[in-house]
Amino acid sequence: MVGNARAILIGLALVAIVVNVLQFRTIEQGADPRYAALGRLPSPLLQESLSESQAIADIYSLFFHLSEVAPGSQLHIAADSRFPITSIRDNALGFGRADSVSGVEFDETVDWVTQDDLDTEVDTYHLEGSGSVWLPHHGDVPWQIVTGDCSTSSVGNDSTSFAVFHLRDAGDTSLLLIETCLAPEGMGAAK
Amino acid sequence: MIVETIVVLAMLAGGAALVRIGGLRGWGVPVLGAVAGISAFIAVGIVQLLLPVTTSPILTIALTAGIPLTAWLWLLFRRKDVGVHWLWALLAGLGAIGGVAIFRMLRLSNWSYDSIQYILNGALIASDNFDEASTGLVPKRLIGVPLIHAAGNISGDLYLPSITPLISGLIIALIAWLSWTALSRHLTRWMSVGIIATGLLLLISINRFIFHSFYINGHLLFGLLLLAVVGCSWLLATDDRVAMPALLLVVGLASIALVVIRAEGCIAVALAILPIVLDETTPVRFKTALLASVGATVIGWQSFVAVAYLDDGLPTPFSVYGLLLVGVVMLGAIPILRWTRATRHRGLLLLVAELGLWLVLVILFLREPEMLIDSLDATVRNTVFGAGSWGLSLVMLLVLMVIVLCVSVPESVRLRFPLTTFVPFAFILAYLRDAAYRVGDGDSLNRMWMQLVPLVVLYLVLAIGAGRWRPLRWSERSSAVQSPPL
Repeated sequence: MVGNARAILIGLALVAIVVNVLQFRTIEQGADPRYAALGRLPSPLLQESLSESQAIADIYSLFFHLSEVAPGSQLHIAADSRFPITSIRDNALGFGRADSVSGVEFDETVDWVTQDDLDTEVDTYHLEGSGSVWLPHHGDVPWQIVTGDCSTSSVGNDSTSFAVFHLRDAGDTSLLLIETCLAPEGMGAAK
Repeated sequence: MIVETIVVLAMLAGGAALVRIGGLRGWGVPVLGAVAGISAFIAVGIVQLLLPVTTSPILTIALTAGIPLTAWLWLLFRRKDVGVHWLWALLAGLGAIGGVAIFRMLRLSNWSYDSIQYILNGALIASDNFDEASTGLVPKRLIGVPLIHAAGNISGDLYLPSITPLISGLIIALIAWLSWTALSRHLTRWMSVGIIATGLLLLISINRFIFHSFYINGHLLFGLLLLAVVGCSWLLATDDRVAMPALLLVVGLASIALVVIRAEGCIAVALAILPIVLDETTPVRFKTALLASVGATVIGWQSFVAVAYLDDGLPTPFSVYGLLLVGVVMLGAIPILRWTRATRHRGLLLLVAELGLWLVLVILFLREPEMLIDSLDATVRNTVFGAGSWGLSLVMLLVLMVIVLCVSVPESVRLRFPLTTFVPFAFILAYLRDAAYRVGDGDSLNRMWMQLVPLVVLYLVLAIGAGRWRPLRWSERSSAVQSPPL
């Protein structure tokens, strides 16, 4: 390319650079904060940073919590569960560090329990955590993780085995991850 | 930081060994080596996923670095010409370690819901559970980006914070190397440096480039590998001084990796390599290997996606069958690669392919006009009126591109074809996903433009440095090597 044409193109590119620089701050101020150019994580740990966002915490807090209280766990979900098994499986195996998530046949008459059932039928249990999880087609669903001294009754090796049930109280449907040895009678299919 | 450093060094060392074995010398070794290393890392991950072996990132790291370094050491031991300057190798390694340390310390990461889905896929890969991932994840987030971040699970980080900014730096280095290689033999050193610096400043002054430099997603990685495929194939056709095996290797590996980075990767790769496949000067053996490896990857990946739908008890979408067909067509084209009538009419065939995309878009528009109208409306708001945080950047790049289309660049069809075909293809995608593009920063197309921007900048730099004015023509027939007139 001859000198003048090249100079014109370089000149146009330089103008574009100047415009880019001048508009940079304006774009930053107008952008959705999530899409600002220079976002800094509040914590070096991603999961702590993600928890700063309520919407994200709602989706993943159950599974991050599961990874802390029972890494390598085994989850048994009712095959006819009204909850989306695939979504729970993705998150439990990924962020929850679960070892396996399987669908099992439950007695349909007891595929849910109430808090009273839990309190009266289970002698001793530990509430390892509770919160709210967002599930597709359900929205926000309360959850609880319940464990006990089940070292001898856990399925397989040292990992914790959970039965995943609906915990229904006063019309609210919750997600109950209960260690299988604690599961009330009738929920034994998961044991 | 130790795991992250090991991953980055494994990619750099493994890739550098590959391109050095391929005959490359000088500062192109760490630059193209890093590109080859990232691509090889993803290619190894694909093989792990499709074969009944573990998807552990430890194995991916070991194979990515181990196989090329073993081959390189063996050749070095046999006194082949594969030596490297140890001081430069050391500096490249220290630079990579420094980059990891600095970017980890800065904690500059941009993320959205998509980012977490990519990281979730990475966690599933790292725990050997990806074969249980649902169709909510597999066809949308694929495995390219997750494979890279999977290693973060070894140390409990879930992702590698420095990898995206390092990819951004690699884009800058790759544009600089490609441009320098092309321009330095025709222009004075300072003129070359000035033009390349102008192009790079144009790139890094774009607000969205800075955003994507820290955004956990696949757009920038896709942009890097598309740049590598197109840029290296352009050098292959225009510069016989650069080691052909190394360039062919990068084109091949990057094409394979592109298939599994974005959902539209299969088609985008097919469009990017079509000018190469139809070029009569490119060795038939390479074109055979390219079509065979990319076609097999497409079929392998889409089969995996189809099985995921089967496992979820859902019908396999039409798009999966369509992409499987793309892979079959690639393999089916191998026997006719020696058919010179096709390569003699490359310009016409490329024109037909491009017009075909526009025709498909017109047909889809006639069937459902609202989809295209809504998508165009959102795209104009995003790219022209500021809703997508581009400011005037894309408009200015478009103006420069229109001017550059009036500039004759040797083998420009390789640079232009993936860019101009993206326009109809992007809007066809809206129909394929059955959702119009949206107004706002988070819109898919609004972010996908970044996949093209590095290539646009390379085209501009090459046109300014090595082009001459010409009457506007839609396609170039010539595939012969031309010396840029000065």
